[in-house]
Amino acid sequence: MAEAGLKDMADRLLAALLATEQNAADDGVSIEGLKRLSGGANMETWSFDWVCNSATEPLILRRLPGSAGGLDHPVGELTLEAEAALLDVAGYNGVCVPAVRLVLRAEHGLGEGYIMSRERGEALPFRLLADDFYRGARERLAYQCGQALGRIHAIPLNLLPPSLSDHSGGRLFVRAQELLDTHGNRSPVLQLGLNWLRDTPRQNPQCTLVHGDFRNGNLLVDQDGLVAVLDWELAHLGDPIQDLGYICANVWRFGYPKPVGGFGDYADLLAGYASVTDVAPAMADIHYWQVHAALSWGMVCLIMLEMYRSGQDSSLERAAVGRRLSEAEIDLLLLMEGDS
Amino acid sequence: MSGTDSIELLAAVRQFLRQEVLPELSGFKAYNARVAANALSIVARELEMGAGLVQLDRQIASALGLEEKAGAVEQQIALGLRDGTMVHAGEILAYLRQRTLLACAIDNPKYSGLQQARARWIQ
Repeated sequence: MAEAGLKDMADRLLAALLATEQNAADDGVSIEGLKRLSGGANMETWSFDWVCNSATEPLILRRLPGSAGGLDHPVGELTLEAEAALLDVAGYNGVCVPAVRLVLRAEHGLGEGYIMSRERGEALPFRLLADDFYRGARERLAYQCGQALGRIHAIPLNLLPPSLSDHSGGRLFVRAQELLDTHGNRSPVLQLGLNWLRDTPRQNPQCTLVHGDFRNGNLLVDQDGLVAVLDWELAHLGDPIQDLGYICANVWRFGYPKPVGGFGDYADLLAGYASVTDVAPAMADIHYWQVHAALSWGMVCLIMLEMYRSGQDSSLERAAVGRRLSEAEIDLLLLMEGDS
Repeated sequence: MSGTDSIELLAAVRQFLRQEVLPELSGFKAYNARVAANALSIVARELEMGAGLVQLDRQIASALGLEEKAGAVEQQIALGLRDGTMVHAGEILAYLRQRTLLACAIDNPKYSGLQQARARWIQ
């Protein structure tokens, strides 16, 4: 963004935040260090500091610029407003999440989105997996992930935003088949994965809030372990064990051997989960959702490919992710033979 | 063809990206330059090994009596598996394993799943 655009954005952030302060003088406030972190073509994440009466508050802006409307995230489930509401609920129920500071409204002139606290820690998987600094964190993290998931799954359904979509029961298969059909049925292995999920019997799964993207890369971690759970846009209602299988998917181990996110063991994840829920999920159920996670990754590759081909997002990153389909396929073939 | 061949051109561009462009960049642009260099490596491997994919598709099409005009081989098999007119066994399973091994060797030869699959499926 050009300097003028950046200044204008900082001015709008300042006005939006100033209106939330009781005793701030116009000359005692400023927006410092505004910079874009990452995101897709439309969804933006910005980092900045709000300085007010010489106190500094580190913040993050997550937004869709321009008018409200279609979501950038291709498999996104929630509007940003609902995502902010969900973060609030999760925080009240003991899940470590950033605190929502302000939900944007039209008069702020910043698009759709919200401002939240910028928490300490690192989310980049390779640093977390490789740096000595995180050695202690790695030892604790699987247990802490189990605890966090247990708390997420224990949130009473009546507290959740009503717009959460329901993937429980057979809805999941219908949605996945629709996706494979609309993307040209180009992968027999993804079809096999879906058939396997549909045909493998399940014992009375529960229906709870599911984070949907709980993995290495979406977790803020410091040297003591888990600081905050990020990226809630795929949250939905469904079988809670989905989240436990997902964080154990091969693709989210980033080449490292430990089954939980590349950093931890199943036993620690399950012990952390049981410490909160008194539920001890069966490995067969974890395995079932690992198959689903591999299928999901394959479907994301198909979606990215389509976004690239349609011109909706012609970035190199999209084109490159579209080429990773064979990773999901090889994982699916291995998993359907019975491995975890 | 007597000039620089495609593999050589790709290698030259990749080296330019890695050794001359990348050190000048930081952050997201540096990341993208690595992705770009890696994409060229995929293309180079496909030039070298891609004929194997076509060969596997031809073999299974012939074994199953698929017709070219009915669409891509993978799509025909995907639809057959969806509709239950084909089953995941025998020559279809063997084809899917071989094809996926080769595709992954082209796309990401370092992928951990590929190493596992090789260990298990290739005697």
